[in-house]
Amino acid sequence: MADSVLKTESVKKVIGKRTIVSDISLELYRGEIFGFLGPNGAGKTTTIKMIVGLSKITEGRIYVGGCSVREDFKGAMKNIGCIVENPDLYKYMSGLDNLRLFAKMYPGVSEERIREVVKIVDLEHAINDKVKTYSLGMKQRLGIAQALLHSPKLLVLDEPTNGLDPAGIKEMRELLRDLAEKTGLTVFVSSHILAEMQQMCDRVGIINKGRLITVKTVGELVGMAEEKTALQLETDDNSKANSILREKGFSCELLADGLHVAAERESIPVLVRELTLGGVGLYAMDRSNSRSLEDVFMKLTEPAKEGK
Amino acid sequence: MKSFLTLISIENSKMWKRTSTKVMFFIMIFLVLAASCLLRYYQYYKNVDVHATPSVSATWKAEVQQEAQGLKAQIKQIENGKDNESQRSVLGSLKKSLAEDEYRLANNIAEAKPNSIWTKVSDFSQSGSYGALIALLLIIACAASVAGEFSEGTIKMAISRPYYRREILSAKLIVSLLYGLELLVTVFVVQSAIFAAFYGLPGIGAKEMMWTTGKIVYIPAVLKALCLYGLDFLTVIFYTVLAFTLSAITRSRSIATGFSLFMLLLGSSLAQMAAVFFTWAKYFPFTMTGFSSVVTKGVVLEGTTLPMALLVSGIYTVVIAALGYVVFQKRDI
Ligand SMILES: Nc1ncnc2c1ncn2[C@@H]1O[C@H](COP(=O)(O)OP(=O)(O)OP(=O)(O)O)[C@@H](O)[C@H]1O
Ligand SMILES: [Mg+2]
Repeated sequence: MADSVLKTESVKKVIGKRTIVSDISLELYRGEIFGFLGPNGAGKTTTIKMIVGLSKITEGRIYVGGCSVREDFKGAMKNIGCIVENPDLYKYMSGLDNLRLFAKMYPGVSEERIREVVKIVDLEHAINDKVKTYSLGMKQRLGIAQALLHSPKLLVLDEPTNGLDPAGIKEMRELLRDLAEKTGLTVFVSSHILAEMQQMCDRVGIINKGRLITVKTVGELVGMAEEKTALQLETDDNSKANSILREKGFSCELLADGLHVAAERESIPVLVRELTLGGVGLYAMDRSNSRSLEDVFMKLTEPAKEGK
Repeated sequence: MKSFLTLISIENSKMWKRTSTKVMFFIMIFLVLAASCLLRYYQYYKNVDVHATPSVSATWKAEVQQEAQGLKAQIKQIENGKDNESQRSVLGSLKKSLAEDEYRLANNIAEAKPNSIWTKVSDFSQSGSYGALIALLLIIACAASVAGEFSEGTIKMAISRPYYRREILSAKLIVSLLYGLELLVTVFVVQSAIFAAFYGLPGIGAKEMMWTTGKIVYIPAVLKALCLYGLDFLTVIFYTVLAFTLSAITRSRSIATGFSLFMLLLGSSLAQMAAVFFTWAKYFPFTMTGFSSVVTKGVVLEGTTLPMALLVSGIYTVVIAALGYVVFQKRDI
């Protein structure tokens, strides 16, 4: 209980007559990275805006570092650093001026701390340039720098990898992991890309149509995916392999890039034996985890489709 | 309190880092200098001897007496005549002139206006509508600081901080008004300095009559100049608050700027036109916002006074500002 950094209790948001999100209950602990995953329009940004005080909580409670966002707004905000949607900073100022401005808002953020944060996000070379000259990746990094200034307990990032190139995404991932491990920072990060979350997060909450469907550790999610692994086979006679495996009850699909088979982990040796017995030469067998993870995600977020 | 002062200094540096703030500041100084130089050039061109002390005619008493009589007759005629409604709008100005004449006769004041540097400064500032110019610049600055942060998206960065929304909003309003005050003081200083350079410093301690809708007070000319600047600043506050609230409600810089400017330029005369036909229209928000003109020209609407104008407009200012606060406090960003 002592190291619960973010706690939401049946949070609900109604705009007009429409319920945008409801019944969001979460608890995040010190030093963990929590992924908030959902398709477009699921309600991620809406939930985040309530956490950081940008929009009013219709029902329920949110605590940040033990302070209620509604009752002790200032207390809660002292514990939060955030970027919501885009890292919009004052374009007509330099990066450093932006940071100095935000630093003033918290007591005890020294000039050294500002330098330190700039170093953490690796922006020393451009910190004196006007923000309007920054690339998106640089703006993201400056955004993270301003969020870290006052050493908050909780860092809230809304789709921080949006628009970053693969190298940028990797850097961001390493930076966040590093911060969480070394400083005990808790990170709440939203995204609609599962593979990204899988590599970065400890736990993932999946939200769809305004409801929290499940909260799982990344290990559990991968486990779910591995129950049925998608295999991609390359043989000397793909169509023969296809008919053999179909006969034995595997679900296969013959595609241009090979024979795709969905198989449980335990039945993979059986599959290999059957192919050998049938006289098919096996050249290669690839497992694509991420693809099947996406399947799990799709299955969780689109229960209606699965029923058909 | 200390943290609120910090917030004000933050907003202040945000404002001054904007190029438009500095540009507007220099434009204002430039306008003052340009207008003054133009005046001086005109006087030079027309061979006006600006250093000569205006002579007082020996028969000024008789002249003033005659003028007062004429004014009295005119006032009576308009007050009794029921047919011409629009003529009644000059009543305020006639009454002001009459009061001045009577005061001069009673107190033996030969000059209607003293030959004073301060009188020159305040007359020129009034005819140049410096108050309206500053209001215009402030509307732009205030809309940029409130609505501009919405369109630039930076308002999100300002809200998730250990400050209440009302504190953030107050800081913005205070900083905008401070900017107005800085402009006003600068304009006064620059205007005084350039006129001192042109005309020297005649009548530094001279006294001048000031009309306060009801009676005349005889005060140092410098005090009158400051009073007029002060009244202009109150008008500036009114329109800045209007721009501020419209910014908080519409989140649109163009709507807030456009509507406030429109009201600044036309609101008062439109409302006064309406007030000629409907007596209750004098209680409209914009009817009585030209405070300094009440002193320099007299009231336009019968039955209004300077204190009343200040009170009614003051109440509206508070109501309009409160509206902005309530909407901003509740709004999802
Ligand atoms: N101010 C609003 N008024 C009405 N509906 C809104 C408002 N804001 C959001 N919504 C609706 O709420 C739903 C959730 O929006 P939200 O922005 O939270 O989604 P998201 O999960 O962040 O999606 P994305 O991945 O596209 O960013 C959307 O269907 C959106 O149309
Ligand atoms: Mg979103």
